[in-house]
Amino acid sequence: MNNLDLHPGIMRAFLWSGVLVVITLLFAQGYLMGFIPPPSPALPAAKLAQIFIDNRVNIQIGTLIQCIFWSFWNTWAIAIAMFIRRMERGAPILTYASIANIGGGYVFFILIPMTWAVIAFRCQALDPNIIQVMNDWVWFDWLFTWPPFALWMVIIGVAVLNDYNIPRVFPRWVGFFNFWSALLIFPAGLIAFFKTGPFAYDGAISFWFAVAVFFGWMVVMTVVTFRAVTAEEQRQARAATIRPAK
Amino acid sequence: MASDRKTAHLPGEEGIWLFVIGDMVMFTALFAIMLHYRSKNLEVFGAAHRLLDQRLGLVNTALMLSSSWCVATAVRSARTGRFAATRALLIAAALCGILFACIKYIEWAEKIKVGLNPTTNDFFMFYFALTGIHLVHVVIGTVVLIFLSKTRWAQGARGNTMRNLESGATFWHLVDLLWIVLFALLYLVP
Repeated sequence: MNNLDLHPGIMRAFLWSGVLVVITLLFAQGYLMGFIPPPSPALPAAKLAQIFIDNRVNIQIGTLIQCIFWSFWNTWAIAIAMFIRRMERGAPILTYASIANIGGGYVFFILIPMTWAVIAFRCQALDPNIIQVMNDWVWFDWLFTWPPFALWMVIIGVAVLNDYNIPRVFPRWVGFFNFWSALLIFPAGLIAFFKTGPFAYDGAISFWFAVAVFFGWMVVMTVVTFRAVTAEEQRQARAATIRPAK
Repeated sequence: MASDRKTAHLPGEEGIWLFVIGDMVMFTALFAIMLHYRSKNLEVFGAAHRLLDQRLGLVNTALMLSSSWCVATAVRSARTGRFAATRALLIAAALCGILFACIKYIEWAEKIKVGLNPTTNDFFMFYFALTGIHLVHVVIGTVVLIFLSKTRWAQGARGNTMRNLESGATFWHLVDLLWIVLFALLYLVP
């Protein structure tokens, strides 16, 4: 059997990097750019363009910060994928599917600040209607791209329920929690139909509820994975006393 | 039977109840938001609600209730070792789920054909969004029921197989319960 010992220090650093994703999201996109909550999809194009013109420098700084920190989605998620590998026996199909969805999902994340940066780049010269479409595009990128993330939650859930380790890597409820999260971010897909109300991209359900579930899920997964790292560290320490390292 | 047990029996496992309660939190939020919109817009909601086909809604309610009965009876059959009945009842329940989805499709298609769509007004926004979110639950639940009907009962009704059946049944009862509330709120409340 291959040695699948995980490096507790790197694992913890990766988990903290996910905490940074959430904090900088609140700081850069919320505080600097003023895009939490989103501008209403019903806002006239000229007014939307004015937001970019008035707040241009803050938006540019915010997008640069976001551009850097969304990368840590990858490191955070891979820490969980390593435990999926641990939970899985034989050919690691769930692990491969996880890596594909993590990397694929990341592309959507990086396109969010990039598109805003492009809008801000020439916001005075651009036709407001073009700004409007590009800004819609960002919010669709934010929310309408929920499926790979939901799919990964289902994969985590399946891995947790099929875990063969004794003791288990994650408690079984973590599996159900992931199924629940996967189902609950679905209303984000409804933004395609509405410009106002709870299912619009600034709405109570499609934005606030879906985003709260997603980032709440990140917090819960961070906590349970930290616990799993501690358990792994203790397991390695016990193994070292039984069979001293060369 | 249950009465001689010292401790209460929680069907399924704790995790599925976390899921059920979490899901109910979302639907409670959805219902509250809908009732808020309705209170601001009683006339639109009243007029639009009359455009729904109560007969199709009633048929779907009957399907949901029948499937729930099938699932509950399937669990009871498994406890008494009648696994062939369990399997047949689960398949029957899954068929109810498939029929439910077909009727929902017919209902939606009729509405869209006469120009009633999610953007028509606030009532139809909630009608399509809520029945849509519920339909996703029905599809997932049906897949779970089909999966459970393939259970091999080689070791009898003990341990994980029974726990999984109860967990799946619990989820299906949630799907049924949510529909009953939706049916009342969308089709019945004047």
